[in-house]
Amino acid sequence: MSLETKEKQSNELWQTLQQELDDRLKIKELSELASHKTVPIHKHSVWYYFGGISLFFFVIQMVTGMLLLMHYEPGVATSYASVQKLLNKVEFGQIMRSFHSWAANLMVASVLIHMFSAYFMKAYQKPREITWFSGAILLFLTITLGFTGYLLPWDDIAYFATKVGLDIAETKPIIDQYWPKGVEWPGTIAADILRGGADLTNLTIQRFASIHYVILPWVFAGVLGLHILMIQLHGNTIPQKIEESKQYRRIPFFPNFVYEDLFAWLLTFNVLAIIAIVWPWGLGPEADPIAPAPPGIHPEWYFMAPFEILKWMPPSVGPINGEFIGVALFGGASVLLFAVPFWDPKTKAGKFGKIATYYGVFALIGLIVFTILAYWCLDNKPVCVAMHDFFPWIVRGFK
Amino acid sequence: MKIEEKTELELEEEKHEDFVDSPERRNFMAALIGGATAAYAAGIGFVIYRYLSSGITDSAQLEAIKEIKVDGVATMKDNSYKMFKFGSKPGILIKDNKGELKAFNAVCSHLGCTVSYQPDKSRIFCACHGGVYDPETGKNIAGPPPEPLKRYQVVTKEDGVYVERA
Repeated sequence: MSLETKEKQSNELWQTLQQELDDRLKIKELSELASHKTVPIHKHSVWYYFGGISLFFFVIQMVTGMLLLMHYEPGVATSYASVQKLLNKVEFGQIMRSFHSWAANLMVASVLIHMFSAYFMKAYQKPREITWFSGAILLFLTITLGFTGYLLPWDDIAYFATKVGLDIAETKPIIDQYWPKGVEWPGTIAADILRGGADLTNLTIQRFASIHYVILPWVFAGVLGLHILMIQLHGNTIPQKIEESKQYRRIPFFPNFVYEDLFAWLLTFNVLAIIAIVWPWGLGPEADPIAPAPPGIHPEWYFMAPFEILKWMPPSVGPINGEFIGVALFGGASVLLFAVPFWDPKTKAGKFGKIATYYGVFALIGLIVFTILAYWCLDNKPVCVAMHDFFPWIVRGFK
Repeated sequence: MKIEEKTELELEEEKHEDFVDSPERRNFMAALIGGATAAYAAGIGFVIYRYLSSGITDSAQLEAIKEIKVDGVATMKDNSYKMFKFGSKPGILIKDNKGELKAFNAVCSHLGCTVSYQPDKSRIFCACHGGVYDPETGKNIAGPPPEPLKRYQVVTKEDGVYVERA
């Protein structure tokens, strides 16, 4: 057989295979659909990458998480030892864990950037409200994943972070003195269920593990599916000013933007790899229920702003629990932010349009300022102590 | 525009444009992207392979155990058996009708189930696929097992009964 006939035959075979696959998978129809999808390119389109980058982090978390589970043993007696073994005995175990912990942090950052960019582009307005709300749920799930995963290594910081986090959930609006006897606060019921009792025990680790690597990933995948479907339906938002001035062009989603997305993922992966290898994620001493909290202990950076706000609160204002005021302030501000499609529903002639932008700036600056302040005040500088005592002082003054 | 009127820069630009859309560039980019992808896949694949194959409990350490004391042999009746753990593997100690002790590796040579002794039929039996061994020698006498059970030495010392392997 000549070389040419051979080549011809293999071509025919390839074509038959393609046709047979297409009859079943409808690849042509799908690629036809994909060819119509375009992405607007303009001076702010760099923000469009952060959705894809967040998705990429989720994929990294799924893969590294599954791999970590192949060495991790949940339980008071085994959690810490298995993580130690992972770090000391397992080849690339240190890197695997470092990737997972760093990617978790960078994912929170990426999701926050994605959220704020969508906010300022007013991507929450009709017809994209469902995209916005599903995104808000994904941000909440991302942070909850961070919180539940934090306990699993069972080191001292994991222990106290979980203890404090669940105590916050238990914060009653009214101080104990005035709280009606025999009435259970829903937050306490929820915290007891999460802990499997009043203390952090083996059951707590098992429950957090189940939530962290079974329940939340499933829920996340479902909401993410909805979120991505919505983006396919409505496409990317173009900021109003750019839309009006026509200062944009469109490029095909496939293959042009896909290549750009892949390149962004490659950069992300390399940055993550460098960070994870140069600054390996640490492991503190094993959790000890009778050991005092180590000095300077603080939560991850994304919890630093509420952490600082809580320090400003007086113990109580009249019958109202001071801590609850802090939680309500931060929670209320967040709810207002995420409810923006309700109070700024239209692009044109929307009188709340400007207010929404100002509120976004206020929230963003507030977060940054309180986060910086929280780090700066970690060593309890006299200025900080005075600052933190300002509201309690006013409350005392009223008495 | 006549060709000779073109400046050097314009010619250079033309060349550049030719290159941007040229099949050479296409092939080069495809090779570059394909090569980089293959390199990343190989690197990540290697890391995952090493990660998954290390940190496993070393069974060689347990294999090094050459002798073990079996408790409760004195109270054993004739025509009965006792299971014991030898390193990481199960062992079976059989006291036959004459009161003689025999010890075997209890892992069936067929597909690794743990065998048992049937006093009523005086045979070693594997419940998984019906393998039968001779309790005197450990020889495979019926069913699918391809090899006999490995036999251990039974040594009676002052403080009890020991099972040894070479």
